[in-house]
Amino acid sequence: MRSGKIWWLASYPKSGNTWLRAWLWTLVSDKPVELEALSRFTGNAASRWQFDRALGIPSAALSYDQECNLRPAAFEVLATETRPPAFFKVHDAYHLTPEGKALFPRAATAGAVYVVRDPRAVAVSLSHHMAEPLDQSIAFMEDHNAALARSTRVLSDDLRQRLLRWSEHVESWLGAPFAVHLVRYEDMQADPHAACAAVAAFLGLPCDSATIAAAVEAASFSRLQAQERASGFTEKPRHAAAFFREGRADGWRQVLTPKQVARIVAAHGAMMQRCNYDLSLTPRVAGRAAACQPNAAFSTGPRQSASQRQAPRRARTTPGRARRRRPKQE
Amino acid sequence: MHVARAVVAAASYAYRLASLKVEADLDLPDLSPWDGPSAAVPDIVIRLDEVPTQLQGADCIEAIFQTRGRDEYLLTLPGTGRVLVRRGREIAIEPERDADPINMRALLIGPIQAVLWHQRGLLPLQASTVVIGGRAVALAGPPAAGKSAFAAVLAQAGHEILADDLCVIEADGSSGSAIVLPGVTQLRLWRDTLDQLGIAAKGLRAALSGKEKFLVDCWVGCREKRPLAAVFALARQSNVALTVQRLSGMAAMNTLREVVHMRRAASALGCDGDIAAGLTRLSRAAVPVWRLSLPDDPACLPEAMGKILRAVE
Repeated sequence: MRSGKIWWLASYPKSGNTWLRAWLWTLVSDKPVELEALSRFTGNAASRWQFDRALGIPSAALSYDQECNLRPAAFEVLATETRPPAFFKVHDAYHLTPEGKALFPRAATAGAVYVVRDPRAVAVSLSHHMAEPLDQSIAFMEDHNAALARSTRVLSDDLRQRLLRWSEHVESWLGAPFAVHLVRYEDMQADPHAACAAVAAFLGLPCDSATIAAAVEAASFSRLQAQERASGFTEKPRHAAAFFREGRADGWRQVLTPKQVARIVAAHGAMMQRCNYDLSLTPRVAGRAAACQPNAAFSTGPRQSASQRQAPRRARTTPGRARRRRPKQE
Repeated sequence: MHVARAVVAAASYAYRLASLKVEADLDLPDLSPWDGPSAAVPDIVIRLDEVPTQLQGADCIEAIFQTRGRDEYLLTLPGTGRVLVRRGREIAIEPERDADPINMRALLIGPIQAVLWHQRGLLPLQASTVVIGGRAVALAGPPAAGKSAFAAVLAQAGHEILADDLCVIEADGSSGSAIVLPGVTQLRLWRDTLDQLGIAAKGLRAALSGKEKFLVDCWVGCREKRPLAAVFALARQSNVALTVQRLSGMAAMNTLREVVHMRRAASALGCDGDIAAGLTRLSRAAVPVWRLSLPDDPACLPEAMGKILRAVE
């Protein structure tokens, strides 16, 4: 493990970043995952508090361009001041600052693990997370100007993070000028032992079979979900029902309409193919109309009965027929 | 060098900052106009001037600032310009050619003012301060904690504003009590906060370029020093209950240390000893320190105000 350098744990939002961090927690500490402490275990590349502390100036007194131009300098400070292993969660795309510097400077970087997830599943997870209609999430993933913490009306805890389009996000990280280990969310599910061992080997962490098995078990989706139910999770947005919701790789097939799937494939098909996603997969059940409702909080609606699942597929796209259920408020 | 010499020659402004006279080459509408004797010698001078790119003999070189001893602090912000603060009384500014003056003003009123107070040996906290029952109550916390928004709620309830975002504390020589200096009494509020308070943004001056943050001057400001009654450290978080908890001993001390304004710069300037002494004086003066846990919901602010008022009664 190189000291004085940062390992970026990068992903588009809702793509398995927290799961990856939970693995690393156990690999590094050899202790069960503590969800509440997970946010402090790794740095957050977008943390306003961290930026202010590293540079010695309050970002609240800076414009967005000033903030963005100074982030590489902040990372160089953090690289030297963070005790190894310096893991930083990242949702930004790998891009240049307004003055043309790499946002994530090579001088501060040891390498990156990039988690990619099928954009059809990302769209569903994102709509739950943001409590917004599916079509809005799909449009967000197509927007070159998409960003997190993008409101100009309020100061958020995180700095603004440019995401670009989903496929641009993936491409930006795969083309970064340092070592990037690509891991697919679907492989983390299908063979977590192999995926975790590969990540551990890339990062120079223990990767013997017993250690990997313990990490995979300690950070299983059901355990994380149970912890969130018992004591909450600070990274869950106020309006989202839960952070760890379903954790399925192909849950989108029960939710998206054929039209929505076609739209995602049309926008991101080339990158999906590059990431070995099967473009021919289709929805198993005709889409739920609630997802198409403008301005409606997203809901998948009640679970389908067996008879409904076996019924002939027919898209229900009439908004008025949608059955909606608002996300649970906590 | 492209410094606006014409501006230097043509304009000179005089303002009041606490009891000090500030003379400036640029308009700083955040500050109150000077209302003392016109012949008074300025205590602080702000000049548009050439600013070096490096401090000769710097003993601390950080990513965006350098210091030499306690007397010199040089800040370099690409796209904005350079600012040199000397001996707590001179500020030289060299803006970049296309820099928005609004952003330079925001720097001067916030971070640079804090450096100035450190150099003058006082203790600046990241806190907005209001007057309750004739005494100062500091609402402290990191950026985005909601300090100014909370101050606005208290101001709407009739409490005077003593200072926004920067609470400067000096020790009263005879009694040892902690005194808060009056500061900038215009609140810097975000658009969401304005909407929640029912204040129209139209006509308000922008506080930063590209952000919907405005200077609001519609409440009564206090121009006099006030004894410090309490510090409330705001801890805003989703999924927490609204609670107020009195801190003592090291917990109180550590909480206050966390909210010292421009602490990294102060440390580079060699002010750690002054900061420790200032915090110890607050402790000896028995200034209560409270932790106010706030859910991430502006609707809780009136109830939080009730808790504060009861705590300082």
